[in-house]
Amino acid sequence: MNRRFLALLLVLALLLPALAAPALAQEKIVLKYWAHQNEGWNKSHNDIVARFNASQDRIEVKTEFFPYDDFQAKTQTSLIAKEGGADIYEIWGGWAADFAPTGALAEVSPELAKQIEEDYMAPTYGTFTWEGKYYGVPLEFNIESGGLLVSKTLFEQYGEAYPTTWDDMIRIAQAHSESDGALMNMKGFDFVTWDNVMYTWISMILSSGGSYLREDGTLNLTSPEAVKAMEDLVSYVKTTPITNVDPLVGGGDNEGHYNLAEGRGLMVARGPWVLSELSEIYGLQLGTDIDYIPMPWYGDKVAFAAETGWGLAVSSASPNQEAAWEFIAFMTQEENIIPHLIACGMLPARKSLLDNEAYLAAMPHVKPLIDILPEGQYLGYFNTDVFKENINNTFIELTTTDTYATVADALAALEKKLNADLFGK
Amino acid sequence: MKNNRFVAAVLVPVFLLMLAFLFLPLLLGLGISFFDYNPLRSANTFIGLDNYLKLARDPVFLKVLTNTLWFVFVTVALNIVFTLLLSLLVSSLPSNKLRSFFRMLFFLPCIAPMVGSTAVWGSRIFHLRTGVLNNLITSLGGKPVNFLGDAQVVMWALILFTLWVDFGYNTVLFSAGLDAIPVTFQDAAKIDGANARQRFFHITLPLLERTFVFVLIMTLISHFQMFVQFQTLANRGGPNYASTVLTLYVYNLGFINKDMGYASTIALVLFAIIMVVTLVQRRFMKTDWEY
Amino acid sequence: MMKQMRIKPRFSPAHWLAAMLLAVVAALVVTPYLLMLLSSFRTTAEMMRNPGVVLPIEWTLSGYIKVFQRAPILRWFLNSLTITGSVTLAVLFTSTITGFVFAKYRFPFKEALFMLLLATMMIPSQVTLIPSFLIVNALGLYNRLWALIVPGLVSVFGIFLARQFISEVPDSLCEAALIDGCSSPGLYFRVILPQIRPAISALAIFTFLGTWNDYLGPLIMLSEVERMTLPLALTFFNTNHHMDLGATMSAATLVMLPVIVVFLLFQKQFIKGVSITGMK
Repeated sequence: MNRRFLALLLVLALLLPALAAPALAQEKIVLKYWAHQNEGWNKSHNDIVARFNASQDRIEVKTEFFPYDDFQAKTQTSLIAKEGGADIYEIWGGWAADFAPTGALAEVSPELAKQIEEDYMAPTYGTFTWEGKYYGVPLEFNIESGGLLVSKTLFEQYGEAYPTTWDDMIRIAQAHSESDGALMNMKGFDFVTWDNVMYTWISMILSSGGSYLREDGTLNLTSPEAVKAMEDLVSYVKTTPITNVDPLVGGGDNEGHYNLAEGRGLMVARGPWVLSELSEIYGLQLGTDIDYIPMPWYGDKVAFAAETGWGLAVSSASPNQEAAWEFIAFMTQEENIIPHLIACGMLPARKSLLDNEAYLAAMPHVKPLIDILPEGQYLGYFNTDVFKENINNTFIELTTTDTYATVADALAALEKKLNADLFGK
Repeated sequence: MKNNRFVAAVLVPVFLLMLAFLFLPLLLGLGISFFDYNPLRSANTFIGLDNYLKLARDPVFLKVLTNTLWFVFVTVALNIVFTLLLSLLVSSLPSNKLRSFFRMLFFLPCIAPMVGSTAVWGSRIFHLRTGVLNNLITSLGGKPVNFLGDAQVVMWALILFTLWVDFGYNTVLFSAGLDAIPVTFQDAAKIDGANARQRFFHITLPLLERTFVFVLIMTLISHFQMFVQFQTLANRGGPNYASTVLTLYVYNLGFINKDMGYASTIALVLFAIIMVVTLVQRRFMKTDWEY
Repeated sequence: MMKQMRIKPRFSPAHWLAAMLLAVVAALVVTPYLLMLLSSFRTTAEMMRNPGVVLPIEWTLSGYIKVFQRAPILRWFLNSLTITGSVTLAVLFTSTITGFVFAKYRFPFKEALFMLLLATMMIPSQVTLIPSFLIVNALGLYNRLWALIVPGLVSVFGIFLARQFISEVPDSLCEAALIDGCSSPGLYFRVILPQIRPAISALAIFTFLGTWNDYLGPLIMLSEVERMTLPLALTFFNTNHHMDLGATMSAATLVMLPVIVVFLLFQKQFIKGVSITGMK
């Protein structure tokens, strides 16, 4: 190895990264738009962006889609770094609670803020709000309660009718569930996902007349209604298994709707957005292979809570915030958001769109959900991921270990931890 | 030799780089650990020793610490015994070609990207439904086990995986150490009537001491720092932190929960543990360890 | 060495037994890779529906097609190559020249500086992860390939390894070169480097593998899809709800292929390189 050769190699090594850096043409305002990966959704994002880019010649929006886990980490690190990130972020409501108070997000433009106040439903912008100002524009009304995905094929094969009461639903589920040790070959009723243990439980509490909140805004998870509902949920896994905790603990079955698509699930509690995934990945058709029906209520009341779902936010480090809001205004107006909602299987966040004919014609199966949207209460201003993680951990402990003597003990510990973590109380 | 100008020209840039990317981060980490630190905020509060006091009250930290120590000591112990035996087997082969063939093959998992290996093991080996281990168990009439989702089993699954991924390294090191022992020593002992076991403990092992100490320290340090399999093979350190180790806890606290102050505190605990283990080991082994 | 003096019988029954045991271990090593390769030619749905089946029922390239369509995998390959190439070359240079200085020169504070180096070996990367991220960002390197190159330019392990080997180069050789009028850099390039080739290849291998397979660094220091490196391809096909098994196995095959090819080409140097680190 001679000296000149080594020196040459060194120079080359130092030059390579410079060559690898992409040269950007800087004539138009270029806006970076980041979202998480989901085939159907991303296609719709790209469609809207293409229409926007064609509609004017000053601004060009570019999309980038990340795997969900990476997306969360990268949203965070790029907002800290204040560079290398996007101008526009597709952002989950719960994340905004972490970002808005730190000044990492830009305040919503006055024009859009006015629309939010006048036309959007409360749960959709609750967590985008901070000290009376808005830091994100909702794309959807996120609802994980009230809808039940069912396998039409299996119901026909079993000769069962769709359930109309909670007890009926559980009876059918128990009659057809099959397990072999840790492996379940048929899950009658599956509610075990990162989101749905929490949503199912909270709506059970509310439906039977209880509440999960105290007057001072802290959590009340130890009411008789809460204990009774959790005992039932635990029994669905532990006593007479109609599902298991695989989707939470990993290593086994995927979430219920995939399991159903693979012929091992009968009923699944999940939001209507799963339908587009099932048709994309498995080619399942609504009305022939599967159906989406109103989920029976646990108690006497029609009641549920909803958190702020997906929305759009702008980085406060973006030099082109006005252009970014212009795109967001474009995306959230009726003619663009309706096809997007249909493509993503989401529900409208705006009251004025609740009776939109094009939407209802394309999504007749969500009509029952549309009807109950006004009954939905806002879940609360806190990090919902922390809320779900703790509830899920308690649920795993209760169903797979004997750590707690009773469900009430477990819920007391959970309530104490959550009130400390979320509210410092 | 002396040439202070040349020495300075080499050492100044090297130490500047180390200052920026080793010493400074260490000091910064120490500093951050006294704050309620979220880099998104413009102002962060100084909270003194609060993060350190929190350690004692954090049941998750205790669980994670126990997991880490358990994982490291069990895996390293199994690794050393297993690789020592394997390398004895390899070195006993009379064919040079065969020896290098096995060494090469055993080394394969060490060079393949670990995320790739975790993807294969997670979906095709350990998986409850699509894993061959469970296919094997059920075909033998047993009940399937969720290796990665059962809190009682997941650590063992990770230990098994880590052994698989890492054993080639030490096997190569040990068998190189064995090959370097002059055959005459063994032959002399044989003539004196020593059996295989005696020869191993009285000749091979003492002569292997340098290699052994090096391997032990390097393996311990590297196992304390393992991260990927806990994040991607186990379900993000789950279920219920059953497979969370200190490195993953630092990552989750810092980059998911955005509590970088507390994350730095735990990172320093990890540093302290590695330091103590290394020092204790050097004292015990009394070998002048040169690395 | 004494190797020539080994007088051993050709395969005795004990040898056969040893070889058989080793073959079993070898099979366990290879099985996951075979499974990966076979799975890469299947679709996710087919695998989920036929859990006990090992061979593809219908061979398909859909996983590979998806990887190439959805992910800029060639770009990531280039990024990985750029980072790994730069870091490896830089580490070879900085390690050997610093090791040379510590092995052959007398200068003030030599012992103290060396102890300082020794202590840094024990700093786990996770300790410096968060502050490093903040420093990289403060230097304006976030989301640039430099973010992974600059902090990797110096390797303490490399310095130790090089010092160890250079100590064994006879002083007389160096002195002779100096008398012949060789400068210090000249001594380094003409006398020292050629003497420590095995150490250089060992160090090159360690650095190459460590950098190429790094997962956490790129995850944190790089943000845009276009700037990512190959190991991140393995999680690229996981959504928050499920994993595209077929595409992930195809990506895994593609990510592993270059490493395995390089390994098979240089396996002798690899094994020798690893071996000598334990002997010094």
